[in-house]
Amino acid sequence: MKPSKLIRRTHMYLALFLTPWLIIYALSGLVLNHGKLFAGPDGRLAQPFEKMGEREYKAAFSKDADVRVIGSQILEDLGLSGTFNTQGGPHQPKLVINRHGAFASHRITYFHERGRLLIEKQTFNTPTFLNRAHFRHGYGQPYASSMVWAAIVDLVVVALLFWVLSGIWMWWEIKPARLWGAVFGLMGFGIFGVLLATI
Amino acid sequence: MKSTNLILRRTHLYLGMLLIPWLLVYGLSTLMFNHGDTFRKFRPADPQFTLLWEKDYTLKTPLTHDNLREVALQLLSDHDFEGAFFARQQGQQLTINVQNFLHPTRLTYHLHTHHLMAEKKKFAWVEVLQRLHFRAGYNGTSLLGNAWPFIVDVFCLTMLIWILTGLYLWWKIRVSRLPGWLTLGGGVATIVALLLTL
Repeated sequence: MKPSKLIRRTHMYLALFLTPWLIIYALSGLVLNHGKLFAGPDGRLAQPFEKMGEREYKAAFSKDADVRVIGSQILEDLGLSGTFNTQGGPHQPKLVINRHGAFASHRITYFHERGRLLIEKQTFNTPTFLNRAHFRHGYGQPYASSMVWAAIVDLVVVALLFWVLSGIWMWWEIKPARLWGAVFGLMGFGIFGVLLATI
Repeated sequence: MKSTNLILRRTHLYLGMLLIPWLLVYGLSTLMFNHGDTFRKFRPADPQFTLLWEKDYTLKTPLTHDNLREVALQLLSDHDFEGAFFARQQGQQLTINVQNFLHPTRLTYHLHTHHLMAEKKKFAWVEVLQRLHFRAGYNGTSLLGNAWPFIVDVFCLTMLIWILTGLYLWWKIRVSRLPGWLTLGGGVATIVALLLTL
């Protein structure tokens, strides 16, 4: 395969594979840019949490147990394992565990002195789902699906840079498009430069 | 038919040429977010702000519970600062952060002592890219301030146009249809599997 064709095909197949992510980033970008339009009557984008239940949770963690260890164990016991973050320390009266699923978020509050768990769930809505997918990144969570997602975020980065370089290559190969392509390219850099320097 | 094909090809190409800077910004900044620990060391060392000037200043309008924005705007106007800002009051201290891609400024005013201090954020390219990535929403008070979110809208809509025109251009290459279906299907299957297991 000639280099030109190889570049064209890579440009295309990379885009076809990443189409779902591009749709998510495009739509979530619009949601973030027009937050007020998508907000509820209370002015907030995210749905409020609703109580799912409260249950006894008798457990003992060692004094040096990390909040990540406690959070991970509680989620596992609830059958909710997956990416999460915590608020509060291991020795504070309550520890909040925010479990970030793709379609729904759970908030688990652990009252360790009382040995109880409060389980709340945020119902699905499309703008919140899009934003959560938009912000999901990094290799900090020890779950396979989270790692794969982060690897695909890296692939999106590679693709964006490759589309720029291969796009410039393809533009230069189309002689009748050279002038207008250059005009649009210069216009883009001009607008970007003005905005970068002034706002 | 031929002209439709040409129009879609050229639309795909020229929108790409126009938005090259934003593709680079979103690509490079996303790389930084995805590898936060690696890029954290490129941030400037503490303190993050350097002093520009300090002076005595008396607010023209006393600060009440519902006029923070107006008071902040007046203070900024008195010192020739323009653009989007964020103000907050903590006790006897009023802090105003003036947004700017290259040089954000922080103004700190002490209500008791009437002392005003202006500081400039130390420069770092990694933070410029972050600011460019995060900036969204039509909150600017100036035409230029609203130009950025307008371009964010153009970029998002362009991504959808690239997808649609790209699908059309793929379909026109008959020999690529089967591998294209497999690739597209692979992407859809991957994201569905991830969303169900995340």
